[in-house]
Amino acid sequence: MRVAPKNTKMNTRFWTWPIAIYLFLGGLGGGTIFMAGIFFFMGLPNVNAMVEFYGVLAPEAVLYSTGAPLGFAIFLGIVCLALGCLLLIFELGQPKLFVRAFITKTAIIKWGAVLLTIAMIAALIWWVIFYWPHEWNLFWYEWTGIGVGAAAVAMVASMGLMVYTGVLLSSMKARPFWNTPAVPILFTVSALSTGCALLSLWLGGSPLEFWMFAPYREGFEIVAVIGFSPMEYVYEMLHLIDTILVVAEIIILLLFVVMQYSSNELGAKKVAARWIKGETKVVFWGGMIVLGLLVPLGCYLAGGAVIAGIVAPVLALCGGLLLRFLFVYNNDRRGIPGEVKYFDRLPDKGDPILHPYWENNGGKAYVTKGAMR
Amino acid sequence: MTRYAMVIDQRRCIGCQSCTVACRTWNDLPMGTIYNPVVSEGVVGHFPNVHLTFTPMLCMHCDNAPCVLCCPAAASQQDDDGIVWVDPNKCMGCKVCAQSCPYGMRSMEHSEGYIRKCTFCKDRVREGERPYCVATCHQKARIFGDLDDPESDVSKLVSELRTDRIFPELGTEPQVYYIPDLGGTDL
Repeated sequence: MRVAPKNTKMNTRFWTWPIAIYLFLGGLGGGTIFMAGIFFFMGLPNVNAMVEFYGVLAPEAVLYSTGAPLGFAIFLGIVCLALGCLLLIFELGQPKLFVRAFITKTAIIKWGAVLLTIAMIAALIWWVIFYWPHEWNLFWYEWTGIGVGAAAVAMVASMGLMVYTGVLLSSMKARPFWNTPAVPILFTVSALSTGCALLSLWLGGSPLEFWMFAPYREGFEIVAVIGFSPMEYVYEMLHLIDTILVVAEIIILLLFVVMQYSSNELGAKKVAARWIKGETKVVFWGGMIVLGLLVPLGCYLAGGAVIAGIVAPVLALCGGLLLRFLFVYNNDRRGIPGEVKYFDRLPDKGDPILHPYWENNGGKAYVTKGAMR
Repeated sequence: MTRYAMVIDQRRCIGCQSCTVACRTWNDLPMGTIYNPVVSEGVVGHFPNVHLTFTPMLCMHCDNAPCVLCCPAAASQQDDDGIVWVDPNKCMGCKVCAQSCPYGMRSMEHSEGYIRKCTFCKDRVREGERPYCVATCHQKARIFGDLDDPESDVSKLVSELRTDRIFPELGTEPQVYYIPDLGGTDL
């Protein structure tokens, strides 16, 4: 009887939790900035209404019309991207060489690094021009043209960033489970969904919001001028959009896993089988599908300040993080026959007989290169 | 032009792992890093029709190497003679090349922080010698040479015998050719 090898020493997984968290934060930051950008551009006509009402462009006009809480959400998006950057650099083998990420133009990572940088800088300019507390605003609050341009650039770059997190995985021919065009679609939808969740958590769930921004939200002037409260409108829209995105994500994820399960590519089939009925089935069905997608969907549909305002977005965010972990930790290569058995027979790094010899030689082989010539 | 390639005669390989040991010593590999494992599925078939085939692995030095295209730092590079190698002074250790290699022939020692891989013993080959695993193989199962030279052993074997390559359908154009044993490589 053959005993199945344990596959413990074969070093096939080079990316671990920092990359999973980075993929999540990149998508989350991109999604937040993109969704905030949509509402910002939807609110711009309100600015004109306010300018006509007041006769001059006042910074408050922008704040009231496009929403001050939205500004802090953009800041949260930038923080997510910056944390993702730090994780990426921390994860490198030689962090001091991180600038080299920008060199080869055929490399997908280079474009990810470029998009990450552009999205962060453009979003920061956008945030500083429109949402910086105007008591500290020295001279740039009238540069609205630059601010709107930066918002547009940040939106395009953050959209690219969301797609990139999926393309990075799907570009790898060596990993059949990743190597399908469905991965970028799934990651983009998930990134938009987590972005919506972060925005609606901030607008509806944060206790800070009630004492910091309630005057803006209830601002009678804006209601008087444009007829409604933009923030209430944005908050309701976010719930609707996230509901639709979560439904789309459920459909795409289930279709993707079933498609991979019926694939003739053995590596992909193996992972899909592991998710559907193997060792990851509890995490996939219980964690990802039920807690990460179906429960948030039900909570959004149920409504309510706590259920739809806090529980649903928090679970949707956890689901997005779990999705990245599931993907990064299921990167099976198409196996070479006998490979797993070979690597299972190698001694452990802490082998009681071999290890002391390696340690005494500083982890190097015992014959130096010069001696062999 | 020169295009280095390797032919591995699986009819001759007896699985002695000499090439693995030779590689370790020449390249001074850290523990846990192996450039050329000799893998085998074990004995297959039913008695008396049984056979055992060994598949010596190494970097395939692909013509269309995914590890070179995906390296953002230009550290993973391919020379004109087809040798794929990593410059440790340029490698920032993002490990994307190791993730994208279909053959799993790259390794990362965290104490060093850069990717290590088989270089076809670039230092020896440029001095006119054979790679150390080829020089060591007493069965003459590993044959190394210039594929563009019609008089070389490698190009004669590749043009005259049936040879297999590992995962050619991925489009990486691997440049290590296997002369299959009786039962084939099952690849």
